[in-house]
Amino acid sequence: MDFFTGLFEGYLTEARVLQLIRIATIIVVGITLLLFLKRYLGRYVTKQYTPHYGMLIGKLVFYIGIALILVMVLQDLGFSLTPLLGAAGILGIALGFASQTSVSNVISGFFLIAEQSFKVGDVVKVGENVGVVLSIDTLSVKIRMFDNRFLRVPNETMIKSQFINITRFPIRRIDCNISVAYKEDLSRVRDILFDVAENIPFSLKEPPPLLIFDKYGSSSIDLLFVAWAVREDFLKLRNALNMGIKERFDKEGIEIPFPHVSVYAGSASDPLPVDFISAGKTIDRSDIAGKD
Amino acid sequence: MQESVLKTVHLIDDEIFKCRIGPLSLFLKKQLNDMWIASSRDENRDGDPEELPEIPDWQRIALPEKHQEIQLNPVFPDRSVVIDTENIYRVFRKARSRVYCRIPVFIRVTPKDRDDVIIAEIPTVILSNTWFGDFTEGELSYALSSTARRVLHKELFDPHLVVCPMEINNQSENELRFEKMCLRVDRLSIYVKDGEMWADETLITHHGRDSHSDIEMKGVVPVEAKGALLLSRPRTPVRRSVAVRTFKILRDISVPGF
Repeated sequence: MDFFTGLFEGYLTEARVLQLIRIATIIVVGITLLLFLKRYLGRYVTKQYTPHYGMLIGKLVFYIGIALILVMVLQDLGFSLTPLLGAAGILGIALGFASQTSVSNVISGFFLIAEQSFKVGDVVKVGENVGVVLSIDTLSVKIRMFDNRFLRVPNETMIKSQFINITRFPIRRIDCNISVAYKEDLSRVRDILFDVAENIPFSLKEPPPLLIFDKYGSSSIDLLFVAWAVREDFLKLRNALNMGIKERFDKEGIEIPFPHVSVYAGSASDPLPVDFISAGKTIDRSDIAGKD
Repeated sequence: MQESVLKTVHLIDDEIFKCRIGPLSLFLKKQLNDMWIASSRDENRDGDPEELPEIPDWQRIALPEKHQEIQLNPVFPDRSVVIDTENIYRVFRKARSRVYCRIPVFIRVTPKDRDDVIIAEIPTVILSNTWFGDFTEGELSYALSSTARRVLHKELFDPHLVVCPMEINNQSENELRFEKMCLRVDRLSIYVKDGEMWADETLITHHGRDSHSDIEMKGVVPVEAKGALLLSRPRTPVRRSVAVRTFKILRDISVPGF
C-alpha cells in the first residue's frame, strides 16, 4: 500500500497528470482528425480524379499525420529528437538488412505508383490470374479475382514480372478461331462472318472486322475472324459473335468439321483392302461378295 | 408530321397506349405513379403501330408523382454520329462543300410541362456502335448507315429522320481527303417545317491535317427551312464554336485492326 501511495505521490504529480491528459488529447483528437481528413481528401480526389489518386492521397496524409503525432508526443514526453533520429538511422540500417524483401516491396510500390502501368479499378492479368486492382499498398497489390478470391501480389513481383493491363485502352479485339470444311466456298463464309458482325450493334464498325486465313489444317481450313468492341462490351460481343456464327453456319449449311483421319494403303484413290480372318483361315473376298 | 413526332399522350391506368414513329412502335402504360415503356421496330416507315410483342421489353419507372399526360419529343442521339461518305471525299484547298445527312432521332418521354424529368429516351432505329479515334484514345459514337448527300429530295424525308446541313470549308493549304466524319449532335437543335425535321447548320472549317477542325453551330434555322419552329433544344448547352477532331483522314486507314 505504501508502495502505491509513494508511486502516486512521487510520480503522478499534478504536472504529470496534465501532461498525460495532453498526450491523450493529442493522440485521440489527432487520429480522429487524421481519419476524417484522410476520408474527406480520399473521396474528394476520387471524385475529382480517379480512385487511384484518392487512395494515394489518403494514405499519404495518414502516414504523414501519424509521424507528426508521434513527434509531438515524443517532444511532450521530453525526448530530444536529435539522438532519436540518429538511433533511428542506425536502427533503420539494421532493419534494412534484416528486412530486405519488405524494403524492396516498399520501393517497388513507389515505382509502381510512379510508372502508372495500372490504376485502382483496372483489370490486370498476373501470371494466370485475372482480377480487378483493389489497392496498391506499401508492400503489395491487392486484387479481387473474378471468382471472388483475394489475390495479394508483392510489389516486387509486380515490378519484376510481366503483367497485362486488360482495361488500359478503351477498345478491345475479340478473336474467333473458326474452322470450315475444305469443300466450303470461302468467299461465302467471309460474307456470312461479316454479316454476323454487322448485325451485332455493339460490334464496332470502326476498326472494321477482319478475316485472316490462318492455315490449311489437317481436317479443316482454319480462319481467324476478329471484331472490336469497347472494353465494357467485350464479353457480350464474344458471346454474341461466337453464338451468331454457329447459328448462321448451321442455317447456311456451312460445315464445321470434326478432326478426322483418312487412311490410304498405297494409292489415295483405291479403297483400303480388308481381309476377314475366321478360325485360323483366311476368308476369300470373293466369297463375301458372292454372299452379298 | 409534326403531330406524329411531337405528341402529348393522355394515359389511363392499366391501358396500353401505342404509336408509331418511323420504324419504331412505342407502347406506354401507367399504373399509379409507375410508368411502363416498351418498344419494337420493323421495316415499315408509317401506318399503324405493331402489336405489343409476346415478350415486351418493358422498362418500369417509378415517378415522384402521378402524371396523366406524357410528352413525346424527338431529340438527337446521346452520342456523336459518324457519317460515311461512301467513297473517299476530296475537298480541294480553299473549297467549300455543303452536304446533308439524315439522323434517326430518339424519342424522349417526359411528363407534360416537365422537360426536366426525363422518363426514357427510346431510339427510333438501333444504331451500331463505332469508334472515332485511334486504338488508344477516341470516342464511342454511333455509325450512320446512310451516307452524306449533296442534294436532298422530298422522298428522303422520313418522320423519324432529322436532316443536318453541314458546310465543309477547307482552309488548309492541302486537299482534304476523308472517308468518314464525326458530327457532334449533342450541340444541335431540332426544328420542324411542313412536317420535315431540320437541324441547325454546322460549319466545319478544316485548317490542316494535324490540327483539329473548328466546328461552329450556327444555332439558327438553316436557309432551306426558313420559318421552321423549334422542336427541341441541344443536349449540351451550346458553345457556338468548338475545336475537335472531325474527319477520318486517309492516313488513319493504314493503321490495321490487327
